[in-house]
Amino acid sequence: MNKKKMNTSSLYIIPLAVGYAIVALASLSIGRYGVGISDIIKILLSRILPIESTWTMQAEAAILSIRLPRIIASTLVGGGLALSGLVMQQVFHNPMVSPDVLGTSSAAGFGAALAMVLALPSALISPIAFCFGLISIALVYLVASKVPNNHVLGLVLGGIMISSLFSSLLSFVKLMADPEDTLPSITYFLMGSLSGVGIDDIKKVGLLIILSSLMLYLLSWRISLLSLHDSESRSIGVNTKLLRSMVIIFTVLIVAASVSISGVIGWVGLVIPHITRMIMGCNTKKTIPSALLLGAIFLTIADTISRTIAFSEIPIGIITGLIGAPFFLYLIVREGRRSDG
Amino acid sequence: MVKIDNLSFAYPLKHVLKSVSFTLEEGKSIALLGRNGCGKSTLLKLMLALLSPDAGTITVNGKDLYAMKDRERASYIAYIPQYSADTFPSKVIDSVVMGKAASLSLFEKPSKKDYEEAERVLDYLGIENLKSRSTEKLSGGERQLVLIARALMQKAKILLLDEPTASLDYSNQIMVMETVNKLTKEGYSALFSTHNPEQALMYADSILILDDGVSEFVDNPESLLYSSRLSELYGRELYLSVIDTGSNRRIVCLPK
Repeated sequence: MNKKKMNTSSLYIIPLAVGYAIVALASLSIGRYGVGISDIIKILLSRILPIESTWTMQAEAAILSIRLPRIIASTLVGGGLALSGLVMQQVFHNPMVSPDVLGTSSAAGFGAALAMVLALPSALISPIAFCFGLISIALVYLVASKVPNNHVLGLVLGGIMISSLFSSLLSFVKLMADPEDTLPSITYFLMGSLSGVGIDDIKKVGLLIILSSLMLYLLSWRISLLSLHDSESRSIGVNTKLLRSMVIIFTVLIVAASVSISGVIGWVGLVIPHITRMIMGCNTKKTIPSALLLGAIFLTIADTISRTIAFSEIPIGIITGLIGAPFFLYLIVREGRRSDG
Repeated sequence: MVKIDNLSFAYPLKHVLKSVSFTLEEGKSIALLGRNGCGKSTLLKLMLALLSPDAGTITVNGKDLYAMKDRERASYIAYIPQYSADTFPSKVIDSVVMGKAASLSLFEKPSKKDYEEAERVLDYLGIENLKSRSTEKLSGGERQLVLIARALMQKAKILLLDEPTASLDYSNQIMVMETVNKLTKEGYSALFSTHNPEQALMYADSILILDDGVSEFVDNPESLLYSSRLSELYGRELYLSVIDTGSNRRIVCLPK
């Protein structure tokens, strides 16, 4: 009886999982070199089962070397950023917060740009971007420690300051960059793209994103307690400072890892949490897995559009912005109507 | 039992509490009276260890409150705020079950048993019908009762209520205060702050008056009938009288 009820309460995830599977298959199929669904399935299965090849080498290369790594990356980055946004909104009691609130993206973007300007090996760009993401959170905590009576306010102020600092440093690095060669690379990176992502990149950050997301999932009930006022959550026995710090660290790991392989992709962490709550309500037990899947679906669709809509690839950040900005406006109008009502 | 001994606290520019001492006994209620900014909320924050005193001690059943971890403190003292943030509204039952936080480990989620217990608590408070409603769709009185339900889930026997009837209509004020009264009769101890002297006189066993940082513990609220203490506190002449309805003695407090 108990098991039956548990299974029924988990049913909400099925349509999202099916939706994700359809989007992923469609994304594998669509492209300059079209591949049929049956061939895709056979190509994928041929990696684990002895299936005789009835497809072309080009189809196999397009699926396994190009599209599959991108879909894995869009799943990890999209799911990770959406989850980070959802959790950050809960931590800061504010539905308009995005994962960039603590300046992680700006810092990671600066790290990548710095590595490019210094002409470091391309293999070092991701690790340096990731390290700067982590440095930023250490600095934010340093600032927050100066506001001991209001931890949340301290973190927000620290985030604004650090974000602004790294944005300025980034502008300086761009000023120094070679306008013929390095500057376009930096600009392209900052607009976000999955075009250069290979299996090696995924190996570097995939486990980190998956483990951090798993930790956030395991903490999902506790995360719901963070939406209470600090005085309330502490009075029911929650060590809010410790819990908030744990949640922020896992979130920052996800954001820094994502930016390090895909550049700065905006809007996913703001828009998807809203859509998730519109569909699922506010219970973190449901919203956390749902945001992961919806984020993965959204970014896989955006990435498919970015590589197919024009002759040359459009940075994915432009696509997410074109979808995200009007949706954000819709949210503002909707909230305005609700408060008028 | 909570014992507050010579508690003093000052904000950087204002001395709020000066040597406050009183004891909250088991099954008793104390009303906290005072003008705006007199330190009522500060005293509650000190009792929740959200602030640290400049001097003095708070002990719960003989144990130093400030030496306790959040979990242990939550097993003794529950807090019912004046207002609960609703940025991310939840179902009433989910909100009530949050009171279990102190007894669950970091990665543990409430069990089916915890949800059944939450239903029993809602039933006990007469609001079982609200269990599936969203917290954003509750009236002010219902919201307070849900916060009380969450406090009961915590299993703490000491309840701190910060102006529990502020901005409630008259009927909801009575409903909330009668619930508090019922709980004290069943062994809970309650300390509630209020701006309504009638409420203090009607529902509290004792009254703690905070006036310009100085506290005065009134063991027998009816003694205020024969003094001008409340008039002095509020800076207005007040008329206090007893109305005997046969089954109840009620005290009214009106401006002269």
